[in-house]
Amino acid sequence: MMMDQSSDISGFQKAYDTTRPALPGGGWLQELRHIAMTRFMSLGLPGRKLESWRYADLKALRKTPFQPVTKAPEADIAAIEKAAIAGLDAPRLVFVNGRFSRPLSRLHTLPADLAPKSLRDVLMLGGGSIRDLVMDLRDGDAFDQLNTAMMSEGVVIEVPEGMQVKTPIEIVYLVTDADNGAAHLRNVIRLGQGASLTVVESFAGDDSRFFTNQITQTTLADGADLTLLRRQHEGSGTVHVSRTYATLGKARFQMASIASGSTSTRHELRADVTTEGGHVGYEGIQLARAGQVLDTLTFMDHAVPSCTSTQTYRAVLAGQSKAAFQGKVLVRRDAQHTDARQKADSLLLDRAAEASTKPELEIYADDVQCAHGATVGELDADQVFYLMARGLAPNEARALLVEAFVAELCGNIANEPVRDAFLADARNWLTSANAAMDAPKEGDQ
Amino acid sequence: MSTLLDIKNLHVAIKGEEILKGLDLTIASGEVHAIMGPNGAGKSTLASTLAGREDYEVTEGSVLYQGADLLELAAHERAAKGVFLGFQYPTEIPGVSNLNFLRSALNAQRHQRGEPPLDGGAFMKLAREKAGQLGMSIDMLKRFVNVGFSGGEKKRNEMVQMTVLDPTIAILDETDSGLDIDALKVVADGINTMRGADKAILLITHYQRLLDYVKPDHVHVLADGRIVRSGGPELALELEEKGYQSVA
Ligand SMILES: Nc1ncnc2c1ncn2[C@@H]1O[C@H](COP(=O)(O)OP(=O)(O)OP(=O)(O)O)[C@@H](O)[C@H]1O
Ligand SMILES: [Mg+2]
Repeated sequence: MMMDQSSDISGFQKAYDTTRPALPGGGWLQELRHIAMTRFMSLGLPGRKLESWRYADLKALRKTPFQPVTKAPEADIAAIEKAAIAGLDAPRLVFVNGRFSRPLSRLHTLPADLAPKSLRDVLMLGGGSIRDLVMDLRDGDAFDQLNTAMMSEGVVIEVPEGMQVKTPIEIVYLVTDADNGAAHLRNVIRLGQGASLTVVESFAGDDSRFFTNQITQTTLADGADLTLLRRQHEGSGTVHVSRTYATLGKARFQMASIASGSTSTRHELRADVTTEGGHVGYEGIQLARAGQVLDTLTFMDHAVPSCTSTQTYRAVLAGQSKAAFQGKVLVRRDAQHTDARQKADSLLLDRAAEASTKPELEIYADDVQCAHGATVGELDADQVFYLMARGLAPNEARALLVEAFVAELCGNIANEPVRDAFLADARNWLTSANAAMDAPKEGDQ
Repeated sequence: MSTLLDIKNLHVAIKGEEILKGLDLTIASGEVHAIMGPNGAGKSTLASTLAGREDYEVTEGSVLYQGADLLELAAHERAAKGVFLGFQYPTEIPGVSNLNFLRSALNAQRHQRGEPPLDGGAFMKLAREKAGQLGMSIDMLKRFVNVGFSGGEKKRNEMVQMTVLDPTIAILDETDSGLDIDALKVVADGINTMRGADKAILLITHYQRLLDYVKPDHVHVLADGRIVRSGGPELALELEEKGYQSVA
């Protein structure tokens, strides 16, 4: 069995071997990459038997030997604009098939002392704090190892102490004409004391068979405020695995994400709150269509007293699709006065859809407030009838109700063009999901 | 006067249980009809069936509206053709504002009728005017549909929707229940503005007091799934006095 499993992923070893000469970084990093790859091969891809991976669908990763794209990043600016957020006047970093494109980006609008660096450049130099961050994942799981072994592109943003960045930084990842390609991305975002920043990521792409493997490491010093907004709408051939790490002091970390992309998506948010008074907020919207598996896992690690975390998850499932949410909250013995809340609601538009929500609360402190709730339901027939009786067609009634369900989450996003983009994402998704639902089924007249 | 709605031998089952058992009712343009009857008789079932509720199964009979088969139309198509149901229990819809809802509804109807959509400004003007007539503030309209509304406010909201959508036939299911005396007067005024030579109103009510304000041409008693008696306005007074036992 072990043999089978490693042979399943032998494509990754080959990809590593051929890519290695082109990977940035020498010395310690080369060595680390080698160890990471060896570990990945012996760990293998996580299987369904692992509780934290039981809902994910990694089939495609075993079948296709995804090869990091070496071809120069080229794309139509129109495709970038379409993927990006309409009306957002912000500096923009563009990655095509996982490769950074300077000409397609617009960096000139950035304040000089904020200038994001390319991960490739930072790794080439190899020194300083990047080493500690990379080392942090030394003992991580298979995807940490794989990412460490193969990472070559990404952004490094360091916001100096006290700097409040008003305009968001936008990152666009486009997949185009890249069958069997892979992107192993690593982003590093660090906020100094009292600094604040908003980063908006948009993922989009055509139907290339592709593997996106992204890790974002964020650290927030006391008083820092980071908002990470994420739109994941990659094409139907993509497997998307991404995780966001947050390590924060007495700071605020906020994440909102909307995902409708990829045939299979796994996103993780893992947050460590290490100083009293820290706060983590997560709002996740998953929109799943026939054939898709959207899997979300969060892990809030409360190690010190008086920190808060709030998580709100909403999924809408059309057709024969799956969406899963596993939300783990760990309250360690010293973390008195923790306030940790979690709510997960799923809406099934089709009987064949499958929603799974699994809250996991592990609490070792006695004076804490922890709450969780989960619901799975269908559209309310009375509500649909009420809307139809007023003139809305069934698909319009569904659209209005689903939009309302989703809008309750992304309605809180402060930046207007970003908020509008989230809502437009939901509407667009629904239009196509509706079209699929209204299409005559076999056997119908 | 031409026949607007013609119900013949209507049988309706809910989850396999027959609720309407051969109901006949004819309404002509320009008329106001009132239906009264004991709890559980099937009044709301009739109203919902006419509005197009899909899980109510018509097992026998026919309904002609403007001379055409009403039963083959979906609920939203009936609405676009001018059928309006004022719900006995208006539904709450969190996350959808009244204004958004009403504008979507109006434009969905206009779209079906091949009319151009009303733009934001024109719609707001209309909504403001109609809400004002029914003593409802624009702030209420900005709130989510019926969420947190009192019983009376919900009924008033139904009337705002009715006057904005301007139907041909309004079926008002206990719109008077839960209204205070002043609100009853306001709502009755709203209903009366709906009267017209080419329109009709079907009032479902338990109380004579609404009929004091909105004079019906015909009053019917619905009991056990049928119209068991019909008469003029005086029938309502008789019912108020003697109860259903005597007439049914
Ligand atoms: N969804 C349903 N499922 C099962 N039975 C139903 C349903 N809706 C209505 N009924 C039954 O149908 C019968 C008629 O109900 P209906 O609501 O039409 O009465 P009504 O005349 O409007 O009464 P009321 O004056 O109390 O409003 C009742 O016995 C009721 O219990
Ligand atoms: Mg009733």
